[in-house]
Amino acid sequence: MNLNNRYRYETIEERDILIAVPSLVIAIGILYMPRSLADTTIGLDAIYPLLFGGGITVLFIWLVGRIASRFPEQSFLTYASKLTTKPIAIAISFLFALHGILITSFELRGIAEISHLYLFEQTPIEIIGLTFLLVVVYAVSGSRAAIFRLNALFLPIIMVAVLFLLLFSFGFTRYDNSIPIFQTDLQGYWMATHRSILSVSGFGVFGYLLFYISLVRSPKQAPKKAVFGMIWVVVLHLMIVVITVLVFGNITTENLTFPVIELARTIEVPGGFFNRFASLFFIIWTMAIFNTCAMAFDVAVLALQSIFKNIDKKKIVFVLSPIIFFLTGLPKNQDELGMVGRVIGYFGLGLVASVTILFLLLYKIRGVK
Amino acid sequence: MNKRSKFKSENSKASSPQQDDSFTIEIGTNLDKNLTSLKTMLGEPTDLIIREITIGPNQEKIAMIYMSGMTDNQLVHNNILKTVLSSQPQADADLLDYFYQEIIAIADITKTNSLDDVSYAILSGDTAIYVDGTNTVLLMGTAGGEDRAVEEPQSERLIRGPRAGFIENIGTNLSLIRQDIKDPNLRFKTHEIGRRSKQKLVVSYIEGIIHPDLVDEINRRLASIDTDYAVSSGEVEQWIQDSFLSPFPQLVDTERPDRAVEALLKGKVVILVDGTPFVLITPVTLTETFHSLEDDNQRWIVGTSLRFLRYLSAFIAIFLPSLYIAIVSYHPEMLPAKLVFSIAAAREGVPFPAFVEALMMAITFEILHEAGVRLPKIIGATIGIVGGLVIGESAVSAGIVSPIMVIITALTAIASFTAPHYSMAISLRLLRFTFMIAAAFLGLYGIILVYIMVNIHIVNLKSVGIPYSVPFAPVIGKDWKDMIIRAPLMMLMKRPAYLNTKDDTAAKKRRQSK
Amino acid sequence: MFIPKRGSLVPLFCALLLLTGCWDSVEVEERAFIYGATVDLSDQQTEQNQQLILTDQVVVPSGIGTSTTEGGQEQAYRNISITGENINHMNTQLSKKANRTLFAQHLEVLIFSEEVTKQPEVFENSLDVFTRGQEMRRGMKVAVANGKASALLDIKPEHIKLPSQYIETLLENQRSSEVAKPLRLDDLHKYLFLDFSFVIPYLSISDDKNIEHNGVAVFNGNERVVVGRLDGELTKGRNFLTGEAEFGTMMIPVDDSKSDSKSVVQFTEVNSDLQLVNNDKNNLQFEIKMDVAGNITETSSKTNPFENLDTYSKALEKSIKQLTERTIEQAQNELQTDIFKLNVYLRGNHYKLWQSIKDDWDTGENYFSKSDIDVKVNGTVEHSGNTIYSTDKEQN
Repeated sequence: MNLNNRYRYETIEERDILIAVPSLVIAIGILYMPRSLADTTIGLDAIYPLLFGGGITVLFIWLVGRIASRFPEQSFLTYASKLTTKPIAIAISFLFALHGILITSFELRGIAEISHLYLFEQTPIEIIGLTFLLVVVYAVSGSRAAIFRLNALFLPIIMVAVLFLLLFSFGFTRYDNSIPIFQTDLQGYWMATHRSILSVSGFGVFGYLLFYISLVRSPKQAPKKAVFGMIWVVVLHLMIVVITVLVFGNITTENLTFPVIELARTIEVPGGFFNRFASLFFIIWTMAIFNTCAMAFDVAVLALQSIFKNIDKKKIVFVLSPIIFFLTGLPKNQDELGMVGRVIGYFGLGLVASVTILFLLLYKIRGVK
Repeated sequence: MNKRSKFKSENSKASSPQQDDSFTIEIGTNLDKNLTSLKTMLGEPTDLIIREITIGPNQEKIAMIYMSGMTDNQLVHNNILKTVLSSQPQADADLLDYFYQEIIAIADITKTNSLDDVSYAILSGDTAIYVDGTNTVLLMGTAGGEDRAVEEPQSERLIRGPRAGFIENIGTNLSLIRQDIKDPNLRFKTHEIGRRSKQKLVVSYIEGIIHPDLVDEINRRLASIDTDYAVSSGEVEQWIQDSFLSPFPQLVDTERPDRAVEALLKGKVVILVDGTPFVLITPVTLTETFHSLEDDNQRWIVGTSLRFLRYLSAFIAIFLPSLYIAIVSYHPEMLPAKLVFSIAAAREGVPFPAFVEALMMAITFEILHEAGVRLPKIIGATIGIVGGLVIGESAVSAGIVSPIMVIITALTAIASFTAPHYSMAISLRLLRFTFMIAAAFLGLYGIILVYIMVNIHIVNLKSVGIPYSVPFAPVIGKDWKDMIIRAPLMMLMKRPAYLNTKDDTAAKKRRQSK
Repeated sequence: MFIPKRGSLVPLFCALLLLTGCWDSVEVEERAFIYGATVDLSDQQTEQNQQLILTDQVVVPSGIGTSTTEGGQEQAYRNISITGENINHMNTQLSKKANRTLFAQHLEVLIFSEEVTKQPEVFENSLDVFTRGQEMRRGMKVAVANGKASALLDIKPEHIKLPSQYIETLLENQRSSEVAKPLRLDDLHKYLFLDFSFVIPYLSISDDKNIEHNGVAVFNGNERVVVGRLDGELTKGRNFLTGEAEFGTMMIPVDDSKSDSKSVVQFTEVNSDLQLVNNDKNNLQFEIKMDVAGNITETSSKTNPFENLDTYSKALEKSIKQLTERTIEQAQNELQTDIFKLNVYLRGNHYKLWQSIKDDWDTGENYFSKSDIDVKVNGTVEHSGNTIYSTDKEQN
């Protein structure tokens, strides 16, 4: 089929970046984010550290976009080698591939864990994870542009679900829950900022734009689009935190395992055909998790593909899948899973931050094109 | 008639089908010899009519040849036979030229020297006149025969729309299109398909609107067809589609000239195949398969609402039975208490799990449908009675299925028929089974996994290089107003952007001066 | 032609699905839907722990009936009880008695007998299973019953086949101001986390076909038990103070000279506004301002309501003030429990002060009882109804 490139439907466009950022970031993390933020704050105070952390993340994604958009239609490895040296570039690519693999297995375990909690009791957790992984593999073995198209298909559905959730829970909000204000101590704000950066950046997955933006044909507007995408994510986090805290109150939020799903369980649509929204909401959220999984997997494949140029993409996919599935089974319980999430998150954030700053400095000093 | 292509004879002396393309048998000057060679070539068929006439002061022998039943008899008798018989040529006149220029009252008349051309023309319904002593043959376009009249299409009905439909004759079909588009840039590119059937296939498009790559690609694909006989456009569709593993139609068929014309003007390709009233339109996207011309014929509010109704129906047709299974077997908490109790009460005593119940009813419906389609109209009505009354009613009272299942089956069936394209409707009904199986195994989670898989398939699917999921993904915002909703006409000034047309303005607002 | 190789995945996936089977599939008619549950104290007691009786009301769908299967005389429910120490354990034990899978997702009402709520820890512990369980809905309504709670599930209401459904709709009906708002489980959950005191709707059986609201039970957040209850009249007073009275009527005496002339006002609007006047924690002063508006629906007074709406307004103010002061008196002296949501107000608006007093708010030191609550009522009678004169002109 030699027609594909002529229509330019097989390349990633700037507008895809705008959609890709929320699709990448929104996944498991946001489901328990209100809990971790409410944990260290009082009343509705969580919104300030969230705004602050969100601001930092937006700034970072702009830097990421800036550096990656300087090298249009080049792979990460190519421009990283130009900026640093080939071995260093390969090492960084490996780290990103590792992060991608870890994120995929983390999300996979997450979805298996939650559906076990809310949908199934008897079904083995491995089966839930395996079926999901197979679907992800199916997506990743397709074309890369198709994954971006999937984002565009699923994101509106996810947004509609969130809007429904927020709209219907509006009736359950209590003014009492919004007060007191500004009673959190600095330590609490500091912790909440940490956690909000972790959640808003989606455990560091926003750094994958280093790979994707450079694939865009003319990425002039790409940093701007990425920033808009990130602002979207921050606004979404903000709305969810506000509504969750207003409905449950700070104390209850802090004590719920997955406050956002609990929120969905709280609302009952009167007179509706489905008066319970929770299962439906969770099912739609599966798509969000799927998007993140597929892209994280794809980044891992993309990074490895650029290192091992001779190996077929499908071979990489089929080698990685069992590894991911194996990693999925490692955390023993929910608590360990949460810890693993934080470790992956800090690893990702550190990786993205250091690579971005390093590249920007080298770019300024060396001025490579 | 259009320019005739070379006829690769199967019946000539050499029986190998791999004939040299330039093979012709020169026509001699001896009439008898010529007639014999023609008869041999065609194998002396019984419907070949050879009328030998002696004419003029010189008693010159001429022969008129045609295939009975394939010609317009009126034309042959009145405009050829009668005039030839009553003609009085000069003694020294060249009889052929005399006929050509003065006698025969038919516009489409050509001369040829090739037996190949002659036999092809005769087989196509033309009439040939041999004149003794010359090696030139007159060919007159008398093709006609028994043609169906242009009448309202059976498969796609509109409330408000022209009552014309394509017929089996490609010439008529081309003229139906030509009647609507008088643009000189309208192109008909003829292909010949079928090694033995020699069917004419016309690729139609409007130069200056269409993206040229699209035409090249279609022509390239059509050239790859190698078959004895294309039963209908459906077979052509399967030869040139992008993915044979897909349940979705990547080319849609239509019986309506207005629909074909609309597609042409949007910058698409229309493929007409001789012998079938169904023409193919390509490229097509998923949303477009839910469009009906009715949307354009009604005012935009009605049109948009109808469109949304159809999307909703498609959703029901795919998901309703699987949702029923998932809810009844896995997630009864999703429904309000009262509804759950009444479903539970209705299912009390039904011996099968929801999946078996749903599967049974769905298959029963498919059988009824298939039987109803094949039967003549009069008997077809009984199928409705048998299906509706006997199976639906009795199955419930026998306690085999619950009344709610009957409602669901019926609703699903009706919903699937709102899809304006039959090929889409049938795909939806097929997909329904996949979802039902998934729901039986993993409940809602299974449904969503299959849904994601179907979506992965759709985003990877292309229709002649155009992503099937346009304009949702890749997002082409400009196209939403015509492809998802049906915006008011004054907002639809541009052709669809996803087709990359060369001339993108379809209409313009004209200011009226007072 | 384009032949995707990944097509080979499809059969693989199907095979996998076939291998998995359906562990969680339970047909809807195989489930026993619990619609209401009650918790009572058992007569038998062990040394360490109180024995409880859990009664689940399980719906029998065919008894409710659909169009094809006439519900008829069949009973639409069955009550299953079990005695034990631990609710969840009891629930599992209940499955031994039920021929179907117990399913609590449609559990709507949860009723505790008064004795249970008076046992320290027992009430809280038995609540835990309802907030923790994944299959419990957070919107279920909690109430306290006078006497034996399971008796409420044996009521035979006239229109509704399910007693628990009757109780649910009863709890939701807010047309009287003597009725407390239904207490949702998630609110209860929150109050318990915050150590807040609150009120729980209190139900009692009036005859074998009816249950009625009978004021509220008062839960003390610091002492973790129900300490007493308010009757209907005082509940109304409490609802005025918190501004929760949305509907309802009040009887007011109009002419002080003739004690028998009464008039009934139906409220159209009740608002209350709470302010903390001073910060001294040993002598907290609250001011509650209320705006009450209403229409006259019935009067036996000779005073022409059309011309003397002010007189009526004054009378309304006076009776509300009396009622609320009686309520405050009861709360501060007898119950010694904050039922006016002062705790919510203090935590929200005076967080530091609240932190310093919350452990002794309505226990120990009991700052609540020591505080001074001042009530100001602004009553307006807006409309005299459709008729102007209450009595005949000729009689005057």
